[in-house]
Amino acid sequence: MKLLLIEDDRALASALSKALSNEAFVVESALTGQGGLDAIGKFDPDIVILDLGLPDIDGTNVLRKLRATHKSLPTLILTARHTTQDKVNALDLGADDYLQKPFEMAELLARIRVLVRRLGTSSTNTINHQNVSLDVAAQTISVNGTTLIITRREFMILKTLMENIGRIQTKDYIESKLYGWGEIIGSNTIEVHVSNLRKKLPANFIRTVRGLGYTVSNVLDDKTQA
Amino acid sequence: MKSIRLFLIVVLLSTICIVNFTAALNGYNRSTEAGNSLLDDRLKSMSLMIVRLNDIHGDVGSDTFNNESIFQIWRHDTLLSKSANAPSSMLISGNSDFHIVNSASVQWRIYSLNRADSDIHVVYGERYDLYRQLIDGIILASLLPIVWVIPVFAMLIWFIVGYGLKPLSSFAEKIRKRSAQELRVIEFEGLPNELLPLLDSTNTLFERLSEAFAREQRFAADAAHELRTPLTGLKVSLHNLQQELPEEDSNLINLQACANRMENSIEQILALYKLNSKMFRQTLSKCRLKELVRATMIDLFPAIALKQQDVEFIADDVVIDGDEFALSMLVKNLIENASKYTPNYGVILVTIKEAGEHTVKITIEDSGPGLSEVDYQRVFDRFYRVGGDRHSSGVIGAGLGLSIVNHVVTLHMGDISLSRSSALGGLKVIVSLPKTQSEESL
Repeated sequence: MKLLLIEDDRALASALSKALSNEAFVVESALTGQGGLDAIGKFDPDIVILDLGLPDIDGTNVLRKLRATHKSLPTLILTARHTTQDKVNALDLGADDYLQKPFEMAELLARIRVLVRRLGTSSTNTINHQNVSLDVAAQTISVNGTTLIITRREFMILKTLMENIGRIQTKDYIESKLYGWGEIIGSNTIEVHVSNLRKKLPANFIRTVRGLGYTVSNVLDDKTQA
Repeated sequence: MKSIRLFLIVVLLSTICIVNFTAALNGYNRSTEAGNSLLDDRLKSMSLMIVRLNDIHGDVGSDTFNNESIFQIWRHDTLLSKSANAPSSMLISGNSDFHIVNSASVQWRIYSLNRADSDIHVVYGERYDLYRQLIDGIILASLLPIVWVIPVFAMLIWFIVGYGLKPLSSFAEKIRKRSAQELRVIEFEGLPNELLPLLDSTNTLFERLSEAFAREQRFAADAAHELRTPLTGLKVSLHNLQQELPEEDSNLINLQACANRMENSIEQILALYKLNSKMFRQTLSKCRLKELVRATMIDLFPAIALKQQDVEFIADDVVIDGDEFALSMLVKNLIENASKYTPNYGVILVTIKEAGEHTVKITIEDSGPGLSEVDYQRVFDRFYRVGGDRHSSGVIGAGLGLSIVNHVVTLHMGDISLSRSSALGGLKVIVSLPKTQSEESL
């Protein structure tokens, strides 16, 4: 998996290269916008990580040029700017994801994994968490190696949750995802599907956070032991 | 002096009145004097004429004169002739002179003529009261218009002064109508020379202010980049180090703790900086409070989940006038505090409730130890130490966080109160915010 990092801060670029190499990515690093655009042709990356604050060409312009030639090259934006407008701009220009500095390395890796899975290469098709594993390509879920019988919608909901482990997904967001997949849903369908999923999954795998949404927690619930 | 127009009218009118009355009084005196000397000249010449007539004819004829004049002709003590209305006694004796005499119940101006070359003594007079009436009538007729014209003057001055001050008032109106955010230079055609320095200095002030704002915004953006990028480098390097070191290294743990603290402080300082400039340039818009608080809580959830705390969010769907960034900073800091001071497995409850027509209450309560009532006051003392020594507070970042909370509450003309949560037993923070902001506060 080839990864192009366009980031002007040398220290950050080299630390990131190293961290990503440790995760078995082949990383090419560019310190300028132009250098990055040149490298896309030569290096032919699978994923681009782009910083917005570049010295020569503004990151949004790099993204615009990149999109002109590579319509579907997965691109993740890094930025020190924290305004909503920046985020909206970046996503409007066709960025696949957006991460604000400073970020946790685990967060960046999780986001990259989502992009990798979207590429559909075989080795990274499954998301494993605790004893549950979700195969994105085969659209199956198994617990302790036993494949569950699930509906398409249940699979979509769990995929959304497991792609964002540790974070809350609101009911509205999950609904909009289902709409995006062409599903037609009633007002309490999400509750019904989640309740059905819960019956098939280990206890407390999907947690409800009242008033906020659903989450698959990355923290082992040791409440019972404490 | 409250109004230039009023001042000018009062001063100008009083000046005009004083000058007019002085002139009128002077004119009255002079006219009276002139009138009197005219009468006296006539009395003199009439007396001489009577003497001459008497010399020639030996008689003047008492019917020669009408009722409004009077005469007597004496030779020594003998009355030679007199008008019908004259008494038989001598009206005036003595030398040639003018007198005012009352006779037949009217006032007369009388001249008594004693000629040195003759023993004839003539007394001649005319109705002085009538004459005075005539003179006074004439003088009054010429003076009265000056008095009548004063109200007209007043009105004219009112309009003229108003017209003259028009550029000043439209200039003032132009400044008044500007919104607080507008710092463009004022364009003003046809401003009189006297007001040009005012326009110039106002524009200089606006220019400086907008430069300062631009500088501040640039600085905030630069500072954000300059601080966040190396911090990210630091965190990623720490991540790499963690991969390489064989086991939990105490140095690494310390470094990570420091980096996290620094991250927290940097974000707080940047937020405070941004809020400070918002104090001057408010950009309030309609905020959907429920969505805003939910988004903030979702951002905070990973840290809360790490402490295995339960969060719960119950909200009315309320729209308020507010600043999105500021409000999310308010909620973020209060919930972070709640999570920080509540032990593992604790509960945090966030509610948004409409309180009457104009107010909405955001309540954050937890199952932590809470504060004693003495501490409520202490915490509030720290709240109001805005701009003071924020660094001396015992809890890391608490001073900054509370400053932010206070800033946001002030920015929205809201109110904050602390108490003990009856439901959870810990601290209960209630932030009351008005749903709509009045015009002045914008």
